[in-house]
Amino acid sequence: MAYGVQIFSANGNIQVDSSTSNSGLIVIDAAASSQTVSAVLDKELVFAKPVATGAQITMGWSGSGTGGGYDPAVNTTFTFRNISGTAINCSYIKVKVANELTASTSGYGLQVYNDDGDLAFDSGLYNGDEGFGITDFVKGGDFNGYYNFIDSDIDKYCLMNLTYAMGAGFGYRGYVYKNTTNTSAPMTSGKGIYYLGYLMIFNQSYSFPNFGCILVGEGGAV
Amino acid sequence: MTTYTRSVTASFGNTTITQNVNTTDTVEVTVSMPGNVTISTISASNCSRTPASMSSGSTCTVTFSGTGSYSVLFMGSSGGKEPVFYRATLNGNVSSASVTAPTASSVTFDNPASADTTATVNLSATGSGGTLQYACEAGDTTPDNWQSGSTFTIARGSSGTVYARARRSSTTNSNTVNASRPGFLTGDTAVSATSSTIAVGATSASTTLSSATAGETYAVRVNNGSSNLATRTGNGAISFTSSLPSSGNTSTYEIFVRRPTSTGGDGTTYTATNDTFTVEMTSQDTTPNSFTLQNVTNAGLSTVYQSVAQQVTGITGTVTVSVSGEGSPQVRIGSGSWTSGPTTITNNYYINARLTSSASNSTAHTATVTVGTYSTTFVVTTVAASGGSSGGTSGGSGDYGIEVYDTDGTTTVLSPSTRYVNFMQGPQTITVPGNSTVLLQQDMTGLTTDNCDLAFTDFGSFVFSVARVTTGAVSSQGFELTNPGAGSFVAKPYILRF
Repeated sequence: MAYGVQIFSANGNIQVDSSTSNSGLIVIDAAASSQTVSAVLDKELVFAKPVATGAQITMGWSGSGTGGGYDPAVNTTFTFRNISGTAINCSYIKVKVANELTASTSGYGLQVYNDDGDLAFDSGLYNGDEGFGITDFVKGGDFNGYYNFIDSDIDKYCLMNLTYAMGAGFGYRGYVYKNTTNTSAPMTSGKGIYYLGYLMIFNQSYSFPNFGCILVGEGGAV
Repeated sequence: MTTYTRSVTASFGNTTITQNVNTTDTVEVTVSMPGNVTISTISASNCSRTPASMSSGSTCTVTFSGTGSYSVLFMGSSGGKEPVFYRATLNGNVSSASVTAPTASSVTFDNPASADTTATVNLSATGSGGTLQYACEAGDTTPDNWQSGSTFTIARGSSGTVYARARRSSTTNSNTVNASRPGFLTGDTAVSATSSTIAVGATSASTTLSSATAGETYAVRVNNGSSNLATRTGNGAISFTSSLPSSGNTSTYEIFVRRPTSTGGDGTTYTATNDTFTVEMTSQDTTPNSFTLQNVTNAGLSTVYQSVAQQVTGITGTVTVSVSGEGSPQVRIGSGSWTSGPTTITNNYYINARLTSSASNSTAHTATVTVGTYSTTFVVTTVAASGGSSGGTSGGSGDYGIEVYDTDGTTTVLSPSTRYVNFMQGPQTITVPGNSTVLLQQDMTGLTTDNCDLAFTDFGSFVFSVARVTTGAVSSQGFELTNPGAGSFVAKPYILRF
């Protein structure tokens, strides 16, 4: 790297790198409790966790279109639902890629532009919704979809993309937040967050692996 | 005092009758003239007679004042060329009458609701002889305003003595009696005053009088006090602004009354009625709801920075505000002037703080703002020196990395502690034909399964696989999407680095 700026985390992971075309994700919205969230999935990611706690709180979402379908290129309102399709309250954090945002004109702070001249990071775009940092991740395809353990901390937020929860007859792809320490099957790791995915085909359920990565993180001060 | 009745018939020469008397006696003498001639002349010596002429057979009244010999000559004439004069004479000696002085027993007063009183001179013995007279005066031990009546008008006074006596003659005075001069009347004390509760910071209080006497003036004083706080006449409200209770305390006040001169008062003196009332000032809440002043980081050197104004709620009355600390801190209440304090604030007003940042890099100046019992700080930290600074920032796990704070100045939105997500590509729509593989090209240098992966916004298959290609030419590196099925599907992945 002959110019620009690179910022690394304590573990040596790149956070900001002006020598690439990368563009960071800025927290633009957060809510402590809501049944819906509006997002354009082409540019935004949503991380969420259920507000309620219990032995088995399931969380996915659905779009407003037929069968829960949606166009990721347009703004869509998603409804957080449990495995039965009932709307539930969730805390969420919404992030947006920096190069889709207008650079801050505050005159202070840190702005980093990438190799393409696009905004890679801008501290001035944070507007009071605090931060979001990735603490865990699951590579795409690592989980078979049957109560796969992700993290023991149920205060963490999970990436909502490609989850769906339309009701029992449609199958389910999402998360299970377990707030008890028992290790009985199928959630044998006790308290924590699990991944659950299955399809219903002719009244038969088929496990649904995580095709994309699962990102888990913490909001607030990162 | 005796009235003597005498008669006499005049004669040519003179007929004389004698009657000795004293000075209080009267002689009524009937005079007859021969031939009934008119008594044309009645002359008196050392006495008085009425009338001065009269017809024959009429009566003349003779009275006396001096002592010694007296005489009255009655003369008539027959008239004509050779008139005959007839005469009659009443004479005698006048001696002094016997006079006994009266005895005064007391002088008493009525007590009307007016400026003047009526004094009555009372006698235990009326005496005799002469003429009974009375005298009564305030402050004169030998009153001499003689009059026949026994009552006198005496003005009320705050002090002094009234003296009185009687007499039968100038030399037969009674004893002198006295009594204290009637004093001024005080006001009516039958008045009621209402109690009240006032808010913290109130600058006045009031009470409402009832059962007051019309025309009398009432004053509010601190209980048993000597200074009027406010006055009014008759029933109604009285407001006062001094000697109010402090927050959380109750004060007792007393009603005093002043009677006007027209109804017997002195018109100036207030007297206690012993009717009291209370005023309570409610307790003051000097602890506002908590608030914070947004700190400033990466501040320029020696520059004035101010916080975002915060509304102060949850207090009552006027609460003291002070500010202390570094950088010549000041506060401003609402749109007022900046001040180093102390100053005051009331509920719902906004407070703001400012200070001058340090002249040195990476140095904090802290102002402590205290509102009542609550304190908060406003911190302005200067920017690190160019070229980097080792350490000195909070929250870091080592001498590296960057911390970025949210708008509250305290919450880190980027730090070395966690990973940060970057979009590397996408999302882009990829169609994967049946039984085929499509490459999502990406320079995989530095990208591993620990820091990079795909995420999808959409996909059209439930059976496909993703493989990484990290070797070979950059143009052939990336993520391969393989469709093992017969039909094609569409996916919209993006590449994330974290």
